[in-house]
Amino acid sequence: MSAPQPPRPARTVESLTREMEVARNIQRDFLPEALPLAMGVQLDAVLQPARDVSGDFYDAFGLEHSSTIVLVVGDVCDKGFGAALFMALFRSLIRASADPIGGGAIQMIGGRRTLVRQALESATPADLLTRVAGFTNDYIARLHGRTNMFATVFLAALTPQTGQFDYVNAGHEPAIVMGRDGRALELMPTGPALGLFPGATFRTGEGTLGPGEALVAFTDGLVEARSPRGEAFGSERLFAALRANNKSAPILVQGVIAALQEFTGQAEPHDDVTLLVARSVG
Amino acid sequence: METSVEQRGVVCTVHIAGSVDGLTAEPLQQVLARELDAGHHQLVADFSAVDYTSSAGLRVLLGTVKRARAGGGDLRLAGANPDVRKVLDLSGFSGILKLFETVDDAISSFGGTG
Repeated sequence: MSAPQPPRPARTVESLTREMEVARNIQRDFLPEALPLAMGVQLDAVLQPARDVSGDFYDAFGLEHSSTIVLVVGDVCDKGFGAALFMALFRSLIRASADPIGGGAIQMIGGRRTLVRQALESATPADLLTRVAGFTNDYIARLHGRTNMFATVFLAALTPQTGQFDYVNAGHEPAIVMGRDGRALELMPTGPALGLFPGATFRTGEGTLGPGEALVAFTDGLVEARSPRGEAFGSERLFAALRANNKSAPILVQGVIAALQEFTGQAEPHDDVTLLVARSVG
Repeated sequence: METSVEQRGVVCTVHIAGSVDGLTAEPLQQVLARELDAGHHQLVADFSAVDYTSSAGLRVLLGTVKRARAGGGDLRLAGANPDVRKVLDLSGFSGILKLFETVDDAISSFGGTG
Protein backbone atom coordinates (compact mmCIF):
# COMPACT_ATOMS: atom_id res chain seq x y z
CA MET A 1 0.00 0.00 0.00
CA SER A 2 1.40 3.34 -0.94
CA ALA A 3 1.06 6.31 1.35
CA PRO A 4 -2.00 8.44 0.66
CA GLN A 5 -1.18 11.26 -1.68
CA PRO A 6 -1.86 14.81 -0.57
CA PRO A 7 -4.78 16.27 -2.50
CA ARG A 8 -3.71 18.04 -5.66
CA PRO A 9 -4.15 21.78 -5.40
CA ALA A 10 -7.11 23.02 -7.37
CA ARG A 11 -5.98 24.48 -10.67
CA THR A 12 -6.22 28.18 -10.65
CA VAL A 13 -8.25 30.13 -13.12
CA GLU A 14 -5.00 31.79 -14.17
CA SER A 15 -3.32 28.51 -15.07
CA LEU A 16 -6.33 27.37 -17.08
CA THR A 17 -6.49 30.71 -18.85
CA ARG A 18 -2.80 30.39 -19.67
CA GLU A 19 -3.27 26.88 -21.10
CA MET A 20 -6.21 28.07 -23.14
CA GLU A 21 -4.08 30.86 -24.56
CA VAL A 22 -1.35 28.36 -25.50
CA ALA A 23 -3.93 26.09 -27.18
CA ARG A 24 -5.39 29.02 -29.08
CA ASN A 25 -1.97 30.05 -30.36
CA ILE A 26 -1.06 26.50 -31.38
CA GLN A 27 -4.37 26.12 -33.17
CA ARG A 28 -3.75 29.30 -35.13
CA ASP A 29 -0.74 27.48 -36.61
CA PHE A 30 -3.12 24.97 -38.22
CA LEU A 31 -4.58 27.73 -40.36
CA PRO A 32 -2.58 29.06 -43.31
CA GLU A 33 -0.27 31.92 -42.40
CA ALA A 34 -0.96 33.50 -45.77
CA LEU A 35 -3.24 32.61 -48.65
CA PRO A 36 -1.58 31.72 -51.97
CA LEU A 37 -1.20 34.42 -54.58
CA ALA A 38 -2.12 33.49 -58.13
CA MET A 39 -2.74 35.40 -61.35
CA GLY A 40 -6.45 35.53 -62.13
CA VAL A 41 -7.92 34.82 -58.73
CA GLN A 42 -8.02 36.67 -55.43
CA LEU A 43 -8.50 34.83 -52.12
CA ASP A 44 -9.57 35.95 -48.67
CA ALA A 45 -10.84 34.19 -45.56
CA VAL A 46 -11.89 34.70 -41.98
CA LEU A 47 -12.46 32.39 -39.00
CA GLN A 48 -14.23 33.69 -35.89
CA PRO A 49 -14.24 31.12 -33.06
CA ALA A 50 -17.26 31.14 -30.74
CA ARG A 51 -15.05 29.99 -27.87
CA ASP A 52 -11.32 29.93 -27.16
CA VAL A 53 -10.66 27.15 -29.61
CA SER A 54 -12.50 26.19 -32.75
CA GLY A 55 -13.70 23.11 -34.60
CA ASP A 56 -13.84 25.05 -37.87
CA PHE A 57 -10.93 25.26 -40.26
CA TYR A 58 -10.02 26.53 -43.69
CA ASP A 59 -7.02 26.06 -45.91
CA ALA A 60 -5.73 27.15 -49.30
CA PHE A 61 -2.54 25.92 -50.92
CA GLY A 62 -0.88 25.38 -54.26
CA LEU A 63 0.37 21.98 -55.40
CA GLU A 64 4.02 21.43 -56.25
CA HIS A 65 3.33 19.70 -59.56
CA SER A 66 0.59 21.90 -61.03
CA SER A 67 -0.97 25.36 -61.01
CA THR A 68 -4.02 24.06 -59.16
CA ILE A 69 -5.01 25.72 -55.89
CA VAL A 70 -6.79 23.55 -53.34
CA LEU A 71 -9.42 25.29 -51.21
CA VAL A 72 -10.82 23.74 -48.03
CA VAL A 73 -13.49 24.73 -45.51
CA GLY A 74 -14.36 22.27 -42.75
CA ASP A 75 -16.49 22.01 -39.64
CA VAL A 76 -15.76 19.30 -37.08
CA CYS A 77 -18.81 18.03 -35.19
CA ASP A 78 -19.54 19.43 -31.75
CA LYS A 79 -17.47 22.23 -30.17
CA GLY A 80 -14.67 22.93 -27.73
CA PHE A 81 -11.39 21.11 -27.18
CA GLY A 82 -12.48 17.76 -28.67
CA ALA A 83 -13.47 19.44 -31.90
CA ALA A 84 -10.23 21.48 -31.84
CA LEU A 85 -8.06 18.33 -31.59
CA PHE A 86 -9.84 16.81 -34.57
CA MET A 87 -9.66 20.05 -36.52
CA ALA A 88 -5.87 19.73 -36.43
CA LEU A 89 -6.09 16.11 -37.57
CA PHE A 90 -8.57 16.68 -40.43
CA ARG A 91 -6.65 19.67 -41.71
CA SER A 92 -3.34 17.79 -41.69
CA LEU A 93 -4.75 14.65 -43.32
CA ILE A 94 -6.32 16.72 -46.10
CA ARG A 95 -3.20 18.75 -46.78
CA ALA A 96 -0.76 15.83 -46.60
CA SER A 97 -2.89 13.60 -48.83
CA ALA A 98 -3.57 16.41 -51.32
CA ASP A 99 0.10 17.13 -51.80
CA PRO A 100 2.17 14.14 -50.68
CA ILE A 101 5.13 15.35 -52.74
CA GLY A 102 5.20 18.91 -51.40
CA GLY A 103 4.21 17.66 -47.97
CA GLY A 104 7.06 15.13 -47.95
CA ALA A 105 4.88 12.05 -47.43
CA ILE A 106 6.26 10.43 -50.57
CA GLN A 107 9.92 10.52 -49.48
CA MET A 108 9.56 7.33 -47.46
CA ILE A 109 8.51 5.29 -50.45
CA GLY A 110 12.11 5.41 -51.67
CA GLY A 111 12.73 3.47 -54.87
CA ARG A 112 9.16 3.70 -56.05
CA ARG A 113 9.10 7.45 -55.69
CA THR A 114 9.36 8.19 -59.40
CA LEU A 115 6.46 5.94 -60.31
CA VAL A 116 4.30 7.40 -57.55
CA ARG A 117 5.25 10.91 -58.58
CA GLN A 118 4.29 10.22 -62.19
CA ALA A 119 0.97 8.76 -61.10
CA LEU A 120 0.22 11.81 -58.94
CA GLU A 121 1.25 14.27 -61.60
CA SER A 122 -1.02 12.68 -64.19
CA ALA A 123 -4.02 12.59 -61.85
CA THR A 124 -6.84 15.01 -62.69
CA PRO A 125 -8.04 17.51 -60.05
CA ALA A 126 -11.23 15.44 -59.72
CA ASP A 127 -9.14 12.29 -59.02
CA LEU A 128 -7.16 14.25 -56.46
CA LEU A 129 -10.27 15.40 -54.58
CA THR A 130 -11.93 11.98 -54.47
CA ARG A 131 -8.65 10.47 -53.26
CA VAL A 132 -8.25 13.10 -50.52
CA ALA A 133 -11.86 12.74 -49.36
CA GLY A 134 -11.73 8.93 -49.43
CA PHE A 135 -8.40 8.73 -47.62
CA THR A 136 -9.37 11.22 -44.90
CA ASN A 137 -12.77 9.56 -44.42
CA ASP A 138 -11.31 6.07 -44.08
CA TYR A 139 -8.48 7.18 -41.80
CA ILE A 140 -10.85 8.86 -39.31
CA ALA A 141 -13.52 6.16 -39.50
CA ARG A 142 -11.01 3.30 -39.06
CA LEU A 143 -8.50 4.74 -36.59
CA HIS A 144 -10.79 7.02 -34.59
CA GLY A 145 -14.15 5.30 -35.03
CA ARG A 146 -14.58 4.93 -31.28
CA THR A 147 -14.78 8.69 -30.83
CA ASN A 148 -17.59 9.04 -33.42
CA MET A 149 -16.04 12.30 -34.57
CA PHE A 150 -16.67 13.50 -38.10
CA ALA A 151 -16.34 16.68 -40.14
CA THR A 152 -18.32 18.24 -42.95
CA VAL A 153 -15.85 19.53 -45.54
CA PHE A 154 -16.01 21.46 -48.79
CA LEU A 155 -12.96 20.85 -51.03
CA ALA A 156 -12.26 22.52 -54.35
CA ALA A 157 -9.38 22.36 -56.83
CA LEU A 158 -9.27 25.61 -58.79
CA THR A 159 -7.21 26.49 -61.86
CA PRO A 160 -6.70 30.24 -61.43
CA GLN A 161 -5.88 30.97 -65.09
CA THR A 162 -9.16 29.52 -66.40
CA GLY A 163 -11.44 29.81 -63.39
CA GLN A 164 -12.36 26.14 -63.78
CA PHE A 165 -12.80 24.16 -60.62
CA ASP A 166 -13.77 20.71 -59.41
CA TYR A 167 -15.23 20.16 -55.97
CA VAL A 168 -16.24 17.56 -53.42
CA ASN A 169 -18.88 18.60 -50.92
CA ALA A 170 -18.64 16.07 -48.07
CA GLY A 171 -21.86 16.65 -46.15
CA HIS A 172 -21.15 20.38 -45.89
CA GLU A 173 -23.26 23.50 -46.13
CA PRO A 174 -23.61 24.20 -49.89
CA ALA A 175 -20.88 26.53 -51.15
CA ILE A 176 -22.06 29.35 -53.42
CA VAL A 177 -20.98 30.61 -56.80
CA MET A 178 -22.02 34.27 -56.89
CA GLY A 179 -22.54 35.25 -60.53
CA ARG A 180 -22.09 38.72 -62.01
CA ASP A 181 -25.87 38.92 -62.46
CA GLY A 182 -26.31 38.43 -58.71
CA ARG A 183 -27.59 34.90 -59.06
CA ALA A 184 -26.35 32.45 -56.43
CA LEU A 185 -25.66 28.86 -57.48
CA GLU A 186 -25.49 26.39 -54.59
CA LEU A 187 -23.01 23.49 -54.72
CA MET A 188 -24.88 20.68 -52.97
CA PRO A 189 -23.24 17.68 -51.20
CA THR A 190 -21.59 15.06 -53.39
CA GLY A 191 -20.97 12.64 -50.53
CA PRO A 192 -21.41 12.21 -46.77
CA ALA A 193 -19.49 13.98 -44.00
CA LEU A 194 -15.92 12.63 -43.56
CA GLY A 195 -15.37 9.97 -40.89
CA LEU A 196 -18.84 8.41 -40.56
CA PHE A 197 -18.12 4.94 -41.96
CA PRO A 198 -15.16 3.49 -43.89
CA GLY A 199 -15.58 2.97 -47.62
CA ALA A 200 -17.79 5.98 -48.34
CA THR A 201 -17.58 7.20 -51.93
CA PHE A 202 -17.47 10.79 -53.13
CA ARG A 203 -18.56 12.17 -56.49
CA THR A 204 -17.14 15.39 -57.83
CA GLY A 205 -18.88 18.40 -59.27
CA GLU A 206 -17.40 21.09 -61.49
CA GLY A 207 -17.90 24.72 -62.33
CA THR A 208 -16.23 27.80 -63.78
CA LEU A 209 -15.70 31.25 -62.32
CA GLY A 210 -16.06 33.92 -64.98
CA PRO A 211 -14.48 37.35 -64.41
CA GLY A 212 -16.06 38.98 -61.36
CA GLU A 213 -17.60 35.73 -60.12
CA ALA A 214 -16.85 34.36 -56.67
CA LEU A 215 -16.75 30.93 -55.07
CA VAL A 216 -17.87 31.30 -51.45
CA ALA A 217 -17.49 28.45 -48.96
CA PHE A 218 -18.54 28.83 -45.34
CA THR A 219 -19.63 26.93 -42.23
CA ASP A 220 -23.15 26.68 -40.82
CA GLY A 221 -22.21 29.01 -37.96
CA LEU A 222 -22.66 31.82 -40.50
CA VAL A 223 -26.20 31.06 -41.72
CA GLU A 224 -27.35 29.74 -38.32
CA ALA A 225 -26.08 32.77 -36.35
CA ARG A 226 -28.93 34.26 -34.31
CA SER A 227 -30.18 37.80 -33.79
CA PRO A 228 -30.98 38.89 -30.21
CA ARG A 229 -34.62 37.94 -31.05
CA GLY A 230 -33.53 34.40 -31.96
CA GLU A 231 -33.94 34.67 -35.72
CA ALA A 232 -31.34 32.93 -37.96
CA PHE A 233 -29.11 34.96 -40.36
CA GLY A 234 -30.07 32.55 -43.16
CA SER A 235 -29.12 32.12 -46.83
CA GLU A 236 -31.10 35.09 -48.20
CA ARG A 237 -29.26 37.61 -46.01
CA LEU A 238 -25.96 35.97 -47.00
CA PHE A 239 -26.85 36.20 -50.73
CA ALA A 240 -27.83 39.86 -50.30
CA ALA A 241 -24.54 40.68 -48.55
CA LEU A 242 -22.59 38.88 -51.30
CA ARG A 243 -24.48 40.73 -54.06
CA ALA A 244 -23.88 44.10 -52.41
CA ASN A 245 -20.15 43.49 -51.90
CA ASN A 246 -19.00 41.60 -55.00
CA LYS A 247 -16.13 43.98 -55.73
CA SER A 248 -13.11 42.06 -54.44
CA ALA A 249 -12.43 39.06 -52.19
CA PRO A 250 -11.59 41.19 -49.09
CA ILE A 251 -14.65 43.42 -49.64
CA LEU A 252 -16.84 40.30 -49.90
CA VAL A 253 -15.47 38.88 -46.64
CA GLN A 254 -15.71 42.23 -44.81
CA GLY A 255 -19.18 42.90 -46.20
CA VAL A 256 -20.57 39.55 -45.07
CA ILE A 257 -19.01 39.84 -41.60
CA ALA A 258 -20.33 43.42 -41.23
CA ALA A 259 -23.86 42.27 -42.21
CA LEU A 260 -23.57 39.37 -39.76
CA GLN A 261 -22.42 41.64 -36.92
CA GLU A 262 -25.21 44.10 -37.58
CA PHE A 263 -27.71 41.22 -37.50
CA THR A 264 -26.43 39.47 -34.37
CA GLY A 265 -25.69 42.66 -32.40
CA GLN A 266 -24.67 41.80 -28.87
CA ALA A 267 -26.01 38.23 -29.03
CA GLU A 268 -23.54 35.60 -27.76
CA PRO A 269 -22.10 33.64 -30.73
CA HIS A 270 -23.22 30.00 -30.47
CA ASP A 271 -20.95 28.57 -33.16
CA ASP A 272 -17.70 29.25 -35.01
CA VAL A 273 -18.03 31.25 -38.22
CA THR A 274 -15.74 30.61 -41.19
CA LEU A 275 -15.86 32.13 -44.65
CA LEU A 276 -13.49 31.59 -47.60
CA VAL A 277 -13.81 33.51 -50.87
CA ALA A 278 -12.06 32.91 -54.20
CA ARG A 279 -12.96 35.64 -56.71
CA SER A 280 -11.94 35.61 -60.34
CA VAL A 281 -10.43 38.88 -61.45
CA GLY A 282 -10.44 37.85 -65.13
CA MET B 1 -34.62 18.59 -23.92
CA GLU B 2 -36.63 15.80 -22.33
CA THR B 3 -36.66 12.09 -23.02
CA SER B 4 -38.89 9.16 -22.17
CA VAL B 5 -38.40 5.49 -22.97
CA GLU B 6 -41.07 3.09 -24.16
CA GLN B 7 -40.57 -0.63 -24.71
CA ARG B 8 -42.89 -2.34 -27.21
CA GLY B 9 -41.95 -6.00 -27.73
CA VAL B 10 -38.22 -6.04 -28.31
CA VAL B 11 -38.20 -2.55 -29.79
CA CYS B 12 -37.21 0.26 -27.49
CA THR B 13 -38.39 3.75 -28.45
CA VAL B 14 -36.73 6.84 -27.02
CA HIS B 15 -39.06 9.85 -27.34
CA ILE B 16 -37.09 13.09 -27.48
CA ALA B 17 -38.54 16.58 -27.09
CA GLY B 18 -36.73 19.91 -27.53
CA SER B 19 -33.35 20.77 -29.03
CA VAL B 20 -30.45 18.36 -29.32
CA ASP B 21 -27.38 20.56 -29.13
CA GLY B 22 -23.97 20.83 -27.48
CA LEU B 23 -25.58 20.98 -24.03
CA THR B 24 -28.23 18.27 -24.38
CA ALA B 25 -26.33 15.77 -26.53
CA GLU B 26 -24.56 14.24 -23.54
CA PRO B 27 -27.74 13.48 -21.53
CA LEU B 28 -29.31 11.99 -24.68
CA GLN B 29 -26.22 9.88 -25.25
CA GLN B 30 -26.52 8.54 -21.69
CA VAL B 31 -30.18 7.58 -22.17
CA LEU B 32 -29.41 5.70 -25.39
CA ALA B 33 -26.27 4.06 -23.90
CA ARG B 34 -28.33 2.81 -20.93
CA GLU B 35 -30.70 1.00 -23.31
CA LEU B 36 -27.81 -0.48 -25.28
CA ASP B 37 -26.14 -1.58 -22.02
CA ALA B 38 -29.41 -3.31 -21.11
CA GLY B 39 -29.20 -5.30 -24.36
CA HIS B 40 -31.84 -3.28 -26.23
CA HIS B 41 -30.30 -3.12 -29.68
CA GLN B 42 -33.48 -2.48 -31.65
CA LEU B 43 -33.94 1.22 -31.06
CA VAL B 44 -36.22 3.90 -32.43
CA ALA B 45 -35.39 7.55 -31.82
CA ASP B 46 -38.66 9.48 -31.93
CA PHE B 47 -37.73 12.90 -33.32
CA SER B 48 -41.28 14.17 -33.84
CA ALA B 49 -40.90 16.70 -30.99
CA VAL B 50 -37.28 17.64 -31.80
CA ASP B 51 -37.10 21.17 -33.23
CA TYR B 52 -33.35 21.33 -33.86
CA THR B 53 -30.29 19.10 -33.85
CA SER B 54 -26.71 20.29 -34.03
CA SER B 55 -23.72 18.23 -35.13
CA ALA B 56 -23.31 17.19 -31.48
CA GLY B 57 -26.70 15.46 -31.79
CA LEU B 58 -25.65 13.76 -35.02
CA ARG B 59 -22.56 12.48 -33.24
CA VAL B 60 -24.77 10.81 -30.63
CA LEU B 61 -26.83 9.16 -33.40
CA LEU B 62 -23.63 7.93 -35.09
CA GLY B 63 -22.28 6.35 -31.90
CA THR B 64 -25.65 4.76 -31.13
CA VAL B 65 -26.25 3.28 -34.58
CA LYS B 66 -22.75 1.77 -34.58
CA ARG B 67 -23.30 0.08 -31.22
CA ALA B 68 -26.83 -1.05 -32.10
CA ARG B 69 -25.66 -2.65 -35.36
CA ALA B 70 -22.67 -4.26 -33.68
CA GLY B 71 -25.20 -5.86 -31.31
CA GLY B 72 -27.24 -7.20 -34.22
CA GLY B 73 -29.88 -4.46 -34.10
CA ASP B 74 -30.33 -0.99 -35.51
CA LEU B 75 -31.21 2.59 -34.64
CA ARG B 76 -34.08 3.97 -36.72
CA LEU B 77 -35.39 7.51 -36.76
CA ALA B 78 -39.02 8.58 -36.76
CA GLY B 79 -40.83 11.84 -37.39
CA ALA B 80 -37.96 14.23 -38.16
CA ASN B 81 -39.33 17.69 -39.07
CA PRO B 82 -38.23 19.36 -42.35
CA ASP B 83 -35.45 21.40 -40.65
CA VAL B 84 -33.96 18.35 -38.96
CA ARG B 85 -34.47 16.35 -42.17
CA LYS B 86 -32.45 18.96 -44.06
CA VAL B 87 -29.54 18.58 -41.60
CA LEU B 88 -29.72 14.78 -41.96
CA ASP B 89 -29.80 15.03 -45.77
CA LEU B 90 -26.93 17.53 -46.12
CA SER B 91 -24.58 15.67 -43.77
CA GLY B 92 -25.27 12.28 -45.35
CA PHE B 93 -26.94 10.81 -42.25
CA SER B 94 -30.12 10.02 -44.18
CA GLY B 95 -27.99 7.62 -46.24
CA ILE B 96 -26.88 5.84 -43.07
CA LEU B 97 -29.98 5.85 -40.86
CA LYS B 98 -33.36 4.45 -41.88
CA LEU B 99 -35.91 7.25 -41.56
CA PHE B 100 -39.66 6.80 -41.02
CA GLU B 101 -42.65 9.13 -40.93
CA THR B 102 -44.05 7.73 -37.69
CA VAL B 103 -42.89 5.78 -34.65
CA ASP B 104 -45.33 2.98 -35.57
CA ASP B 105 -43.74 2.66 -39.04
CA ALA B 106 -40.27 2.58 -37.48
CA ILE B 107 -41.26 -0.05 -34.91
CA SER B 108 -42.99 -2.31 -37.42
CA SER B 109 -39.96 -2.02 -39.76
CA PHE B 110 -38.14 -4.27 -37.30
CA GLY B 111 -40.64 -6.93 -38.43
CA GLY B 112 -43.21 -8.79 -36.35
CA THR B 113 -41.52 -8.00 -33.08
CA GLY B 114 -43.82 -5.18 -31.90
